[in-house]
Amino acid sequence: METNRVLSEQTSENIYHCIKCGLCLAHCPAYKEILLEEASPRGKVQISKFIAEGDLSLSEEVKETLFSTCLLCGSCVVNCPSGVHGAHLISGLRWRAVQKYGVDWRKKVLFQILSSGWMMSGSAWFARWARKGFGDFKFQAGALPLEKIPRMNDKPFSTTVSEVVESPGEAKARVLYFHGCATNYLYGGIGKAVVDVLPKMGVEVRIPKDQICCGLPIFLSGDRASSLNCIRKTLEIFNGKEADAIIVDCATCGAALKNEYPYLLQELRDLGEKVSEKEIAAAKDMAAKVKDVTVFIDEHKEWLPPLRKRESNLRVAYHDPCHLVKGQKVSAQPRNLLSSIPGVEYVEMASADACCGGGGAFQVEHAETSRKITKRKIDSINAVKVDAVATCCPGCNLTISAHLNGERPMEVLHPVQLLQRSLA
Amino acid sequence: MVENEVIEELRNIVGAEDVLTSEMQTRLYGYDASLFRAKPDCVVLPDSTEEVSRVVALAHRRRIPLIARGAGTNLSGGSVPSAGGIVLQFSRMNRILDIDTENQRVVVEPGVVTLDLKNVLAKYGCVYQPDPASEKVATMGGNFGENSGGPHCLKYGVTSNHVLGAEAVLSNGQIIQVGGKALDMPGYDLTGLLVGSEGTLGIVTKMILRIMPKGEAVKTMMAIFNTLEDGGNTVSAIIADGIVPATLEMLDNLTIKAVEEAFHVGFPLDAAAVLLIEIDGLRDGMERLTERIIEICRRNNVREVKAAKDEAERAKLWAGRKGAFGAIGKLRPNYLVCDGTVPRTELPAVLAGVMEIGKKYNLPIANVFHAGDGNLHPLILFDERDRDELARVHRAGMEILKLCADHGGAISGEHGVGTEKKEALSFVLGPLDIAAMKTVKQAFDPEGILNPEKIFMN
Repeated sequence: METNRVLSEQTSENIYHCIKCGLCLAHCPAYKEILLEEASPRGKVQISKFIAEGDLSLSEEVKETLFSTCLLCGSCVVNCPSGVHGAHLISGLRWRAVQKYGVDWRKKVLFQILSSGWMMSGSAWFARWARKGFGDFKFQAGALPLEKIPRMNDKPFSTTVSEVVESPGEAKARVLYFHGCATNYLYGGIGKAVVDVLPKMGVEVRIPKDQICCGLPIFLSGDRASSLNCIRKTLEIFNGKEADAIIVDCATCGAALKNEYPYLLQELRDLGEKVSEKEIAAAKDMAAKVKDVTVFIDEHKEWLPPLRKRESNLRVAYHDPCHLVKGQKVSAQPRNLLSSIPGVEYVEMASADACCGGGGAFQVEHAETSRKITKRKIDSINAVKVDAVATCCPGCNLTISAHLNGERPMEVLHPVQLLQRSLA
Repeated sequence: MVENEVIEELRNIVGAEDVLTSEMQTRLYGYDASLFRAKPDCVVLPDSTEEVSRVVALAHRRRIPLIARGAGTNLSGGSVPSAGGIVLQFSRMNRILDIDTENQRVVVEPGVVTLDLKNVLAKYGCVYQPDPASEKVATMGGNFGENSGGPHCLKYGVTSNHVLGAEAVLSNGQIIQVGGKALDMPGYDLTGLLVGSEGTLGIVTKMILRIMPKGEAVKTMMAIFNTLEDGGNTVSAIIADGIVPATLEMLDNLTIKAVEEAFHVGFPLDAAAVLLIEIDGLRDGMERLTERIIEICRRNNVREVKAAKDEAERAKLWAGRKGAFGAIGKLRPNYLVCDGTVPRTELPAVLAGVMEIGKKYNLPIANVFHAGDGNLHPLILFDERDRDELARVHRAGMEILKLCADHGGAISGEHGVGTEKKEALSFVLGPLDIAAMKTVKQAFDPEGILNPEKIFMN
């Protein structure tokens, strides 16, 4: 059957469960700005159907639609009453589109770097390249003003910590820490907070060497072949090691390790790619141990030493990263942590779980739509008049920080960073 | 086929970017939430009444079929461009033009999403009453064309009871104003004629709507029954007691199971029926009324009845009801929603008949319906890939409509006739009735370009 050649049977079954009710239109951040059926999840599910049934060819126009009208935020997935997984259909078709038309050269280079770990030695070179390559001579990486992209860490985070950060006294638990690229190269402060807070709770943190990209930005962009390197390398480093949990400080990496690895490997195997049952089983084993760092801390909050009251009150709102709230169904724990800090006044903003518009490379390549989505988020933030916005995703942090318009001074932080300040 | 020359002219009218012609794009405007599919020749995105008027005039000159489309949530195939031609897509004409709270009127463009309007009105303490289950996405233009209903129509009436006037483009491109902010406009009630005409008489470009102050208080109850009959009797008993609830919604066992799985509302999986009863109005007396309703439920063998404690509990109950169709989509890939009405007292007999039809054609049928209105929504579940099953579904659907008609009901409650129920029109209307309607169509659209091949058999 034609269907099986484009998407696996498991994935293409989604197509037939879409009853075209259109409820997804109300939840899709891209559709709300573009207002064309092609931008809606329903439209893209129907495109998948036409293609799978051989009624429509995977044209350049289809490819463009798949990339320019979807941030793979998963809003349609969690809001579909029929349980249609639109994101799996779209990422599957992106893969086919990339096989047919190739990847943009800038992305290709980036993916090569991310999936091979070159950046380890050449982060300074990478920073210069990234600024140039995505600059388009306008000093603007799509929707991101370049001057607002944070400076690279002086040294990658992983080279600044030892492989094992012991807790004073006997360890109550041992965790492995997957720190992701953003912490490693841009937001070293988040990593420092994690290796500070957890040991103070009596948790020993191991940071395996030679970590590379989780692969999610790569396979969501359709380059599944490159992402396989990331998945295999990560499994090799993390699976089978003695640990109570594998903690992650990035919503996106967490979603990859927890949900997407097992799905993607199974999908590739079903489609005849060279993936073994053993690898799928390993991915499932690893997934069972993966936890967002806020979830881990919230589960063991009694281990936290007494928190010092802040000198001045801090009004803090929380932004739900799509890959955490929709991808991993985590929303209460980060809020619990924030509310538990003495002197932090937690404020719930309107539409806290709405996408920030970043979507990784989306904001660079599809700036106009991205900016409109981000504007809604910034408006929600400004409306609650806070001193800081907390979020569990460095990607969201980057987008939100870059668009804050200075109505009042505001920090964008990971909840663990705020926790760290009250433990110092 | 729409010729290149026409496409060029359309581009001149609305701008090149707002005329979609590619294979992918045209296919995407060929469906709605029904089982029908077609493909228009092009899609045009107008931004003003003037643009609509010029596009319609062009189509009129060239005899090109034209169909207005909102969000494509139609359930009867009414927004499927069966004859090809031009789809006029209204999603970008989505402005709220006037909010007049003192006179309780709003003026909106057709692309406004029903729930968006309600959310804006809520800030003023006002409400637009009709609440189709698709209100999160469905547009006011679509509500107008289909005369949409919804649970709260039991007390407040359907869309036509809330439309006071409109601006419409006639089939030759001329712009007319019908009705107005004031009540009782003289002359023929053209507003009444246009509402529910499924886009076959004219294309609405603005509408004047009645809004109301938000009720002071609301109470939502959930009653669980061991038999559908007890549920049905409770509905009749509440109304016979002189109570007019805002809603009386019923879900049967299959629906309960699906909803519970999708939304975890707290419906017991073995219940035969759940009745959602909502009352609204003044706070004074509401407790007493709630007790009266609970007492009526008890007299009719209710297994359990309770009122939602807070807004969150109420929202959860309604999420279950409003998401019921989608949740049923999890049981089997496809469903056909039948939309028939019967006199309330006939409900138990008709429901039994519906189940018989399900058995006869060997098809699972779930029921979720506006019990207070006697408006049934049997959902026939199937997999469209099974051709034999699909054929049985169409026969069973037709038989259910016939059943409703035979019990003194109608073949459409709120979804329109569209493509799906053309054949069934004769179940409730005689040849002369249909001829009178066709005369109206002839007067408004002599060339037959507006949403052709709908409502009437050829």
